Amino acid sequence: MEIRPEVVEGSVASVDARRRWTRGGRKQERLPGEARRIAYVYIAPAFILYAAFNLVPLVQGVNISFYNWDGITPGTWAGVSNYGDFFTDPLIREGYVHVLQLMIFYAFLPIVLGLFLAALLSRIRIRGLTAFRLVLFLPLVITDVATAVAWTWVYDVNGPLSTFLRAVGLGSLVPAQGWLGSFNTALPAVGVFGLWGAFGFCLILFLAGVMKIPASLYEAARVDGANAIHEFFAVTVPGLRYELQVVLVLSLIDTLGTFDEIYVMTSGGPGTATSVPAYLVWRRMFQTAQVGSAAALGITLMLIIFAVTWAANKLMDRWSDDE
Amino acid sequence: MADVTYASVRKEFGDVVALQDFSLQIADGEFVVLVGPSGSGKTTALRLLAGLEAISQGEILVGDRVVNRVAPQDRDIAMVFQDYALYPQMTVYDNLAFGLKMRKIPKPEIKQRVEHAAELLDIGELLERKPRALSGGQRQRVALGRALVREPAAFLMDEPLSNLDAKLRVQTRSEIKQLQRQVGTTTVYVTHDQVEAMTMGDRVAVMNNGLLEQIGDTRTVYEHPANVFVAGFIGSPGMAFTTVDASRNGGPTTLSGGGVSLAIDPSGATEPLPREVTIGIRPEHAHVWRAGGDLMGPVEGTVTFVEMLGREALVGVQLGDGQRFTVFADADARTAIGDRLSFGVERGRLYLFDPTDEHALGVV
Amino acid sequence: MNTSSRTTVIVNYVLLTICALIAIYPLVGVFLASLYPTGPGSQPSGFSLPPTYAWHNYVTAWEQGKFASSFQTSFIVAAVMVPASVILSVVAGYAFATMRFRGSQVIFWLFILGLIIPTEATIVPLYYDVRAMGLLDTYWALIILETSGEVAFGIFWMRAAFMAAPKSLLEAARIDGANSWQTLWRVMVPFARPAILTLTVLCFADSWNEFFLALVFTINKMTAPAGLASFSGRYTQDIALVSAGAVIVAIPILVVFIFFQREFLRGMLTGAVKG
Repeated sequence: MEIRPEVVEGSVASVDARRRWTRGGRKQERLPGEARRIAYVYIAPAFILYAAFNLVPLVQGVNISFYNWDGITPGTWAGVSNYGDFFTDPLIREGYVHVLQLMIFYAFLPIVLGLFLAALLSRIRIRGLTAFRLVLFLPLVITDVATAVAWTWVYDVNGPLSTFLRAVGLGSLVPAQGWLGSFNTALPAVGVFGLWGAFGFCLILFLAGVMKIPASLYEAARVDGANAIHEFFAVTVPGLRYELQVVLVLSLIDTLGTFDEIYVMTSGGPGTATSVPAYLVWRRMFQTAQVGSAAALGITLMLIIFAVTWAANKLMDRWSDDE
Repeated sequence: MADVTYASVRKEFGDVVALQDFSLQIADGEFVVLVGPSGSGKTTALRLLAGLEAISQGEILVGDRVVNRVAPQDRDIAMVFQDYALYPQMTVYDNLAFGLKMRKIPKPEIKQRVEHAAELLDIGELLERKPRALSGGQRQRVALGRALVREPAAFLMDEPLSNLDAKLRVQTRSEIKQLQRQVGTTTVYVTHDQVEAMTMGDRVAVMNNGLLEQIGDTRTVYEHPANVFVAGFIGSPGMAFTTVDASRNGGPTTLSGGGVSLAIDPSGATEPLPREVTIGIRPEHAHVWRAGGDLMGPVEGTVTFVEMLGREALVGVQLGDGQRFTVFADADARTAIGDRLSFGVERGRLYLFDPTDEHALGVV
Repeated sequence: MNTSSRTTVIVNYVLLTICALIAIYPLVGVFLASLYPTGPGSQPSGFSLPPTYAWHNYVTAWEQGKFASSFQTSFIVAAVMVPASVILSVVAGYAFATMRFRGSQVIFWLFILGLIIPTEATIVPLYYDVRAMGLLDTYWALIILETSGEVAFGIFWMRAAFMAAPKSLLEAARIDGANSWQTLWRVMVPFARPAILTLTVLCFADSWNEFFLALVFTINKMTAPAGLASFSGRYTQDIALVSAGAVIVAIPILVVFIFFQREFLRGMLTGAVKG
């Protein structure tokens, strides 16, 4: 590939003169006939739409978050008290604790399991992999409202899980109100739903990634005397670090925004046993008329997502650098 | 159909100077090859002419027109890219016709031009195919065809043969040359392969580090290189060099040092010789020393390799100062690695250069 | 590497099959459950076939769940949102990929931001904005909001796809006399056809599966997922009917997935790595 022209400092005179300057002494040479300003025309429609409905509301949201507002009557100034609630309001704290717990099911477990299984399965050529891929992707592809409904049935008092446990004599484990209706089991139940959804994706992604690791690395390791476990940590895991990084960040962000399944399966309950920040936002907007707080919750969630993304990336980059 | 002029063209990419004060006049219908190692600026010079990069200083003219600020599509040039750059989703016909369609040329004329070019390049049967169904050589022809149909003032070719295998390359070389003769369009051709340059170019422009080292026809560049770089770059196997002392203690001028001991007739030099001189010898002019022969020498050294070429052998000789030369010998000469060997140079084939700035001092 | 004994191969296939079964069990189960006769007493337990196959459950669910209307909404919204998102992304992505202009870095970064900004951060003001515009409970609300959210990803995707084109292709087109618009539609779009198809499929999936926005902004003009949520909320006792509703809503996306598996996989796998 040709070198791209870089920004030049200082002046360059030419016979025809009239090169363009920009402030600060940085200059980009214009190629003859190059499309420049027309780029704005190309970008404008998308940008206008995006700015109007994503960026502007962000600013508006920050504004709203400084008020106590019920959505109907004029709001009263609240300063940063809505944000202070993050530390004082037990409901909000609880919501975040729940997503943290859900992260185990939505992010860490699927990744670990997917990694492990991908390493196991990579040793052979798998025929019919396409069919397996199709099936393993289904949980993630199908509308999660529909899959949540399916799992609601699974968790029903007389549903498959309970029936199976009763059949093997563990019927005492089945809570009377169903798995989703019992304080202790509701959140883990949602978690298992998330695990079910994410696992197939992780497995396929890592399997694809493992195929790309050159066999010579494994052979070298074997010659060096590594057994399967050594190979896993020395070759497989490092070889998958990009996939790992991406999946980790994406799944953490996804978990923080969990909403659909909570709404369908538990409505945040029983009580508030499965409340999550996104659900809280919705509740405060439409049920408890705490609009300002809802806005603040949304902004806070966004900031936390930023922080998690940054931290996860930093961590992964550092791990990659230590190679 | 026009001539092409580079007038003191300079190109900078940030701190890097890709082309320095490049001036070249290409006559209408001429086939000029820009040749040099990578980083020599040859591709930059071509892309400046195409309008794919902006000139930092100087002027480029196509015909009488200064085209510095003219967009590529308006410069009346056509380009053949190293990777062919065929439009992958279009048929060969559409690939050839695209440039004409963009210029609103009427359909019947497009058809005529495309078919004519297809005939010249022998790709008539491929017109309905897509690029991915073509071999490398066929794609290359389509790329050529795309330039042909445009009937431009100049063809610009950026290493068009480098992606072909050796045999095809040799074949296509002569075909391109023939085609150009037939069509008569001014052509600027870039390559790093000096054999290609020497076989194809009417004139050859040897470039190095953004500088034009020498421009001339093939014979001049080979027989009268302007400096060490051109002398060493042109010719294969290349010329070898060493620096020796030149002294004339009242008598004939002798060159000595490191195994060299020659008497020369300095009248062939263009300037008085400095005290130290760099000599250059082409392998084809170096032969095993025989007293009484018509050679200048001897030059002594140790054999480092022997390469059998059939009737002859290439012998590598290392002089006392570490410099290596290549010499032609008979195949049955029984030279072995480690042997001492003396060789000599044909008269009139010893090149002299100034060691300080490497410019040519003539040939003796 | 391939010194695999018979047992290893068998174990591996068994493992894979177990995973596949786990993945598919709830789906198959809910399908079977939907075929149980409705009403109390007949409880699908997940381990037995229904006594009779109550296919009419689907008719009942369709009517009671008002799926005709919600499907219509979903399709109309997708029919506008998908082409709009794709076209806007293609055009803008092309500009980012091939043109140099002032502020391109900044503007692109702003779009990337949209990939991380959660809907929750803007949903509150958006609700009141949409209401003020009189677009509450309309197709347009969903279309506009889904499109504006999708272009962030779409532009990222198309920019990457266009940047994969060899520079010489663009240069050849330029020398051939094509302007930027012609180059986009005649050269770059054909070149990036697979990427565009993948984007289209992903946009459709995102639109069809969108629940949160539908919940907030529609009451009567519900989309299929919202309709299902409402239906299941009203008929919690009738597992068979609700299951039928779930299957109904799952079918369109399932069909798209089966026909466009390659694009789906490509989008979800490479998108993940590039992301």
